[in-house]
Amino acid sequence: MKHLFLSILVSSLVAMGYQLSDKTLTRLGRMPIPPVIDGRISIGEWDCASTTFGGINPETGLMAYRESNFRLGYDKDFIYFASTSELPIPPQQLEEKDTAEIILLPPGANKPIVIKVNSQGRGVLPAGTKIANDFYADTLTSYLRKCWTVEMAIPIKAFGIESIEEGKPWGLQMKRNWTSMPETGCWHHTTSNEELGTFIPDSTAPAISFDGFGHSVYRDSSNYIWTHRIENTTDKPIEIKSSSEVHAFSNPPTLDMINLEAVGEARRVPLEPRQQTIQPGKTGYVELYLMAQFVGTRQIYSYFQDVKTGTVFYRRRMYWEIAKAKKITFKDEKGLPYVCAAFYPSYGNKLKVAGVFSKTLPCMKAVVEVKDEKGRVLKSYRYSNFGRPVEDFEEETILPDLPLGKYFVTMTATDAQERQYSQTRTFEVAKFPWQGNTIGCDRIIVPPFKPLEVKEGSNEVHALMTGYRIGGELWDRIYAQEFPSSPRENILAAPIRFLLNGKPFGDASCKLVSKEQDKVVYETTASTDDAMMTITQEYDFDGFCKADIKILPKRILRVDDFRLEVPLRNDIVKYYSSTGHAGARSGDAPDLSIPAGEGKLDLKGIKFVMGTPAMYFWLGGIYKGFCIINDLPQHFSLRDDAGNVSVTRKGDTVTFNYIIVNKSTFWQEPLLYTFGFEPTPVKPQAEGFRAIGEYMYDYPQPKGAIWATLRVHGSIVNNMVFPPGQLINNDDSYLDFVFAHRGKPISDKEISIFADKFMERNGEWIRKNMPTVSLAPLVRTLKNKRHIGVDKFIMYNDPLLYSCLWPEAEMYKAEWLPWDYPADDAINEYACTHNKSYMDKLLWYMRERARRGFDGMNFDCFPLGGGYNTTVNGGYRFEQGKVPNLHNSNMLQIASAGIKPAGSLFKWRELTRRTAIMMYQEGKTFMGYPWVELHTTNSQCVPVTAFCSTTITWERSSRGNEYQHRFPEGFILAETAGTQSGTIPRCIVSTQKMPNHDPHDIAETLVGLSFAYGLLQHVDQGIVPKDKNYALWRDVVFDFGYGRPENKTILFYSQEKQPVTCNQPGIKTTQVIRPDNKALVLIGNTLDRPVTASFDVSGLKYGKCRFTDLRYGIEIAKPELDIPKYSYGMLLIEAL
Amino acid sequence: MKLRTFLMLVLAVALAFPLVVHCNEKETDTVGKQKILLNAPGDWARQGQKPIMEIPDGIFSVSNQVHFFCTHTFKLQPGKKFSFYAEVRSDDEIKGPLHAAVVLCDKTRKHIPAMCCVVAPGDTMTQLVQPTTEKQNFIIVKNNPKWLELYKQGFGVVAFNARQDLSDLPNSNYSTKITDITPDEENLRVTFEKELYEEFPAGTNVRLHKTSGFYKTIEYVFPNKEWRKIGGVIEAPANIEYFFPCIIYYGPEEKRIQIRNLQMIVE
Repeated sequence: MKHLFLSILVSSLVAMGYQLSDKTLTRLGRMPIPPVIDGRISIGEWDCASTTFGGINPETGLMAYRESNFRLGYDKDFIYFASTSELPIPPQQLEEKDTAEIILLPPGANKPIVIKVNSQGRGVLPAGTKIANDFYADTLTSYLRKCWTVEMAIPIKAFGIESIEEGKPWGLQMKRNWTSMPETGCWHHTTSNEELGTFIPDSTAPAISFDGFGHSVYRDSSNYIWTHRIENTTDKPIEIKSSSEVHAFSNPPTLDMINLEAVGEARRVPLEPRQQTIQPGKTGYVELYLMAQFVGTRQIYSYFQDVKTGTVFYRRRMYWEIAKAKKITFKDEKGLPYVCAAFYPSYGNKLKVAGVFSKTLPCMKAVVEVKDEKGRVLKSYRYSNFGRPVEDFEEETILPDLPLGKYFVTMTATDAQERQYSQTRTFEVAKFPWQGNTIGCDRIIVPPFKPLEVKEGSNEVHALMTGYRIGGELWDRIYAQEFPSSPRENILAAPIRFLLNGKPFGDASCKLVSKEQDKVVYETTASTDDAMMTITQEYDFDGFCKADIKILPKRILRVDDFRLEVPLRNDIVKYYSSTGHAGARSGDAPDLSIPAGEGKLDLKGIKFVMGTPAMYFWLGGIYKGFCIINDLPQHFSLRDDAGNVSVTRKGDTVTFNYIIVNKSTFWQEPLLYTFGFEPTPVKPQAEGFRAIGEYMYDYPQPKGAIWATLRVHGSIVNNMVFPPGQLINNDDSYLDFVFAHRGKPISDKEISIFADKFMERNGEWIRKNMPTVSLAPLVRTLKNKRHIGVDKFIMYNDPLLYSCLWPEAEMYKAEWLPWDYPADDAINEYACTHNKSYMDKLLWYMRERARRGFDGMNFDCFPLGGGYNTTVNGGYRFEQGKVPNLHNSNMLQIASAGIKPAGSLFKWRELTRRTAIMMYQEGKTFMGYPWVELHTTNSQCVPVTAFCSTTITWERSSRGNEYQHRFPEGFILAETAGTQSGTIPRCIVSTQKMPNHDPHDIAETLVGLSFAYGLLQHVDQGIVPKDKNYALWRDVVFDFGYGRPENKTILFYSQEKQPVTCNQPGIKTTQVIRPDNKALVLIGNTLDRPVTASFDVSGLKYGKCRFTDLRYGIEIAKPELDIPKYSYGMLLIEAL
Repeated sequence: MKLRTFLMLVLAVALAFPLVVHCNEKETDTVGKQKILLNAPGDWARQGQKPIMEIPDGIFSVSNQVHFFCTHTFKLQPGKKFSFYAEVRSDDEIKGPLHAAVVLCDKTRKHIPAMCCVVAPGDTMTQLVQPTTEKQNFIIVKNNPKWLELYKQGFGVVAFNARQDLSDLPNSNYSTKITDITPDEENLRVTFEKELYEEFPAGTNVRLHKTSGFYKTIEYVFPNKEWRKIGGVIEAPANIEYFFPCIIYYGPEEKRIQIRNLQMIVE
C-alpha cells in the first residue's frame, strides 16, 4: 500500500518536465557522524550513507565497463556525495572531462541542481560546497588499479531551503562520465535527462548499500558474492524484508559450459536472509555467493522494505555482462606513447625496457630513466630521430646487484609542440623466505620407480617397465611390459630415426657419458652428406628421455622435409592422443581409436593447430606405446594447412611422423631442438586409490570408502587477493579443527559451534583488516560438513594463479607472467607461467601445508602455461612486432606480435616430479605412492602424469547425452583409464539439466559406463540430487570392498583374467573378489539395447553359490540379469 | 623402334628441352663454391603477401610496381662472398628500371633502410665546423666538393659519427633530407627538413648517405623481350648479419615482367 502511495506521489511530481522514478530509490536516515571531506573513504566513515556499486550505461542498459560506486548521505546541514571510480588504463590519464556528477531536485523545485566536478576539483559547484579529491587503491571499488575518489559536502542552503523535510522525495541522479572510449555510468538507469531516481530523507529508515560483487575477481573468475549492507542508524530495531534476487545460474553443473544450452536457463536466485531484525547501531547483511556465472546477461534486483509498513527502503535493478565487457579492448584514441618494463631477478637481473609510439601522436624525443627510491639514476636512455618521429625501441640490460627497495622506470616523451608525456613502471627487490630453495630437487627415486639399469654392452637403458636400446642416432628398440610380471618386449617395427630431405642419418656412434641410479646420459652422433647431428640423451628414472638434438649443417642447406619417424608394431597400436581434442568441449568426446586401413590415417579425434608443432603425441595400446613432448617452436617450418603429426600404416607397421620441416627453408646455422620421449606404461596403476570416495554435493562419502577430499589449503582467505598461506588474524585454528577430526565425523551442530566461535573471534578483525574477505563464503567454508571427518586430504593448487596483489608480484611479475613485459595489474587464475622461482614458492608453501597434514597435492589447469615470454619459457621472436600495452582487461586477448608462444610441458613435468619427491621426503605416501594428482582436463600427458597417482579427468561433454556417447571406449582407454601413466582416474561427472533427457536416466548411463570400465571415483559437478539408485550403488560397491588391497578388483583390461564371464559381448564388468568367497560383479551394458546377461561363475571355483541382484536386493535363482540399454547391474555371488 | 617414332621422340625432346633447361638448372656444391637455386614454389612472395606456391612453367611473372621478396633470409658469413643473379625479360620494351637487390637486416632481422647503410660514392667524409644544438636545422661542415654534386643525385642525408673504415655502418644517426647546401667561405652550410634533436660537437665526422629506400641495388636494367642475366656480388657493411634478395620493379601495369633462374652463389 505504501509502495502504491509512493508511486502515486512520485508520479505526481512532474516539475517542469522533470519526473521522478521510484524504480531506483533510496530512503535513508541522517548520518550520525559527518564524513571528513578529504578525498579518502576511511574505514567506517561512509557506512551510514547509502553506497551503490556499478554505474549503469544509459546507452546499453548494462553496467559500465569501468567500475565505480556512488555514496549518498546527509545531515541537518549538508548533503554528502562521494564517487570512487577506477583510473584510466595508463598511459591514459584522467582528463578535464572525466567528471563525477550529482543531480538533485529538492521537493517542490522546478529545476534540479547539477553539481559536476573533475579530478582537479573544477566544475559547477554551489557556493559553500566543500570538495576534495584523492587517488589511491580502493579494492572495494576495483582490484585493477588506483581509483579517483571525490568527496563533497553540499550545504543544504544551496538548494534554497533551510532544512531537509522528512519523507519528502527528492529527485536524484549520480553519474560518472569517462572520456577515453566515452561512457557514462549512472545510479538510476534512464535514457531521459528529465527522469531522476528518488531519494527520500527519513530518520526512521536504515542506510542500505549495495557494496558490489564481492572479492572473487568476478571479471576473471565469474564468481560473485553479491552483498547488501544494512546499517540501522535509528534508535529502534528495524524489521526488514528483502526481495532481492539475482538472475543467474543457481547451480552450474560444470565448468565446461560454453552455451546456455549446457546449463539450462538462468533463473531467479534470492539473496539471503529474506527477513531479519536489525538492532539499533547494528549491521545486517543480505548476500549471495555463486560461482561460474560465465555466460549471458546477469541481473541483480535490490529491494528492501519495512516488514510492518511495507515502506520501501531501497530499490534498484542493474544488468551486466562480463563476456561482453571482456571483449572490450580499451583503445587509446590519442595514441599516447607508453613504456613497458620487465625486471627478471632470476635471470641475472635482466631489465628489458620498451618504448612504443603511435603515428597519431608523433614524438620527437624520449628519455628513459631507471631510478631507485632515492631518485638515483641507475640507467638512462635517450632517443631522438633527427626530427623524424621516434620509433619503437626495446633495450635490454643487466642491472648490478640491487639493494632491497622499489625501482622506477620512467619514460618522458616530447612531441613536436614540446608537450611532454610521462609514464612510470615499477619493480621491486625484496626478500622472501622461499627464495632459492631446492625442494624436490634432491636426487632420489620415488616409489614405485626403481634405479635405472644400464646394459653397457648393448647400450640399453631400462626403467621400471620400459627400456631403450640405442641404435642409430636414437633407438632401434623400445621395450615395454604391460604389467610388472609380463615379458618386456620391443614395440618398434623398425628403428626410430630422423629423415632429412627423405634421407636417414648414418655413421652413428654413441657413448655413455654418465651413469647414476636416477639419471643416465648417453651421447650419439650421426651425419648425412648435408649435416651432422649430436643428440644428448638424458634418461630419468621414470623412463623419460630428454633429448637435446643439435644439428650442424655442413653448408647452406635447403631443407624441404625434416621429420622424426617412429615406426611401431601394428599389433601394439590401438589408440592415439594429443593435448587438443577435436570438437566442442561441451560435446561428446572423440573416439581416439586408430582407424583401420593402409596409408595415411585420418586422426579425426585431434584438433591439431595448423602450422604449429604439437606439444604432445602418443600412440599405442591400452598399456604399451610411445610418446613425444615438445614445448619450443624454434626451427620449425611448417605449412599452415595441417598439423605436424601424421600417422601411416603399411603392413605390420604403424608409423607416426613428427614433422619439423615441410615448408622449404634454409639451414645456415647450428640448430637445437629439445624433445622428450617416453615409452608406456611407466608404472603399474596405483590400484589402492580405487578405494577412495568423495562426499559429493548430495551424496555423502560412500560407506566403506576411504573418504578423500580435494580442498583448498585451509588459509581460507581469497588467494587472488591475499597470498596463499596468509591467515585471518593469525588464526589457523580451522586447519587444526579439520585435521583433529580426521576420520572422525562430527555433528553439524559441533561444526557450527566451531564456525560461530571462529567468527566471534575474528569477525570484527576481518571487517577492519581484510575488508576484501567476504564473510558469506567464509562462513560457508567453516560450516561445510564435507570437510570434517575426512580420512585423506588432497590440497588444491592452481599453478596458473597470479595476482598483482601478492607481495611477490612487484619483484617477480615479469618472470611469472607469459609475456616479455608484464601486465602490472594482472589478476587471473589462468595466467601464470611457472618458471623455477614460481615453482620454488609453490613447493615451499606445499611442503609447509603437507607438514600441517595434507596427504596429497592436486594441480589444476593443465596444460596451460608457457606463452610469449622470450626470457622465461621459450617464446620465440621470429620477426619484429609491436610490444603491446598489456593490462588485466586485455592480456589474454592480445597475442604478442612477432613472437611464437612456447608450451610448458617440461615445466609441468618438473612440477609434478619435484612435488612427488617432496611428498616422499616428507613421508607423505598413500598406498605406497606419493599422492600427486593432475587435473588433466582430458589429456593424460604421460611425461607429466608419470609422477601422479591420480588424475582428475572428464571435465567435458556437459552438453548432455548418454554417457556411452559422451565417452567412447577409444577415448576412455586412450585418455581416461590411466593405464599408460599408472594413474587412477577421478572423473568429473554431471547429469543435471541435460536437454531432452531425464537426468536420472543419464545418471543410470553414467553408472553403466563406470561399471564397464572401472571408473568409480566420481567427482561431482552436478549429479542429479536425490537419486536413490545413484546413492545405493556407491554404498554397495565400496562397502563390499571395491579397491581395497585385501580384495582383488579385476577390470576387463587388468592383468588377471576375470573369473566371471558373460555370454553377451556388449556387457563389460568390473569384478571384486573377496577372500571370504564372496564376489561382486559390477555389470555395465555398453549396448544401446537391453540384454539378458547370463554369467558363468565357474572361474570363481566357489562350487554351489547364492546369487543376489543387489540393485533390487533380491535373491535370484541363477546368475542372469536383464540389463537395460546403457544401464547397469550388481550381481553378488556367495559361495555356499 | 620405327624411324617415325624415333623422329617424333627427338622432336618432342627438342621442343621440351628449352623449358627443361632453364628451370632445372642444377644446384651444385663444389669445393669453395655453392650454387643455391631459388626457383622453388614458396621461395618468393610479393611484399607482405603469402609465398607464391605454384609456378608451373618455372617462370615468375609479375607486373605493375612490385617488391618481389625472397621468402628466405640468409646469414652473411665472414669470409664468404654472396652473389645474387636472375634472368629477366619483359613482353615489351619498358622504361621502368628493374633492380636485382637485397634488403639488409640487423640481428633481429629488422630491415635496415638504405639511409643507414648506402653511402654516397667516393669519399664524402668531412667534419662539423660548429657544434650543433637540438633545435638547430642546419650544420656547418668543412667543404667537401662532392656534397654539392651528390646531394641532388639521391644522396641527400647526412650520417653523423661516421668512420672512415665504414665500421659505423649500419649508421642510424642520419639526418632528415638536405633541403639546401650553401657554400660559406671554406665551409658548407647544410640545411635539413627538420630540426636535429641531437647535439654533436665540432669535429664530428659526417658523410653523405642515400636519401631513401629500403633496398640496396646490386644491378638494374631496363628489360626488353630478350632474357638478360642481372645481379652480382652482394656488398654489405661488416655489421650486417642477415639479408634477403629481392627484385624491385616500378613499371606500368599492362607490361609483364618475367623472371627465372633466380640463384645465389656462395663462395
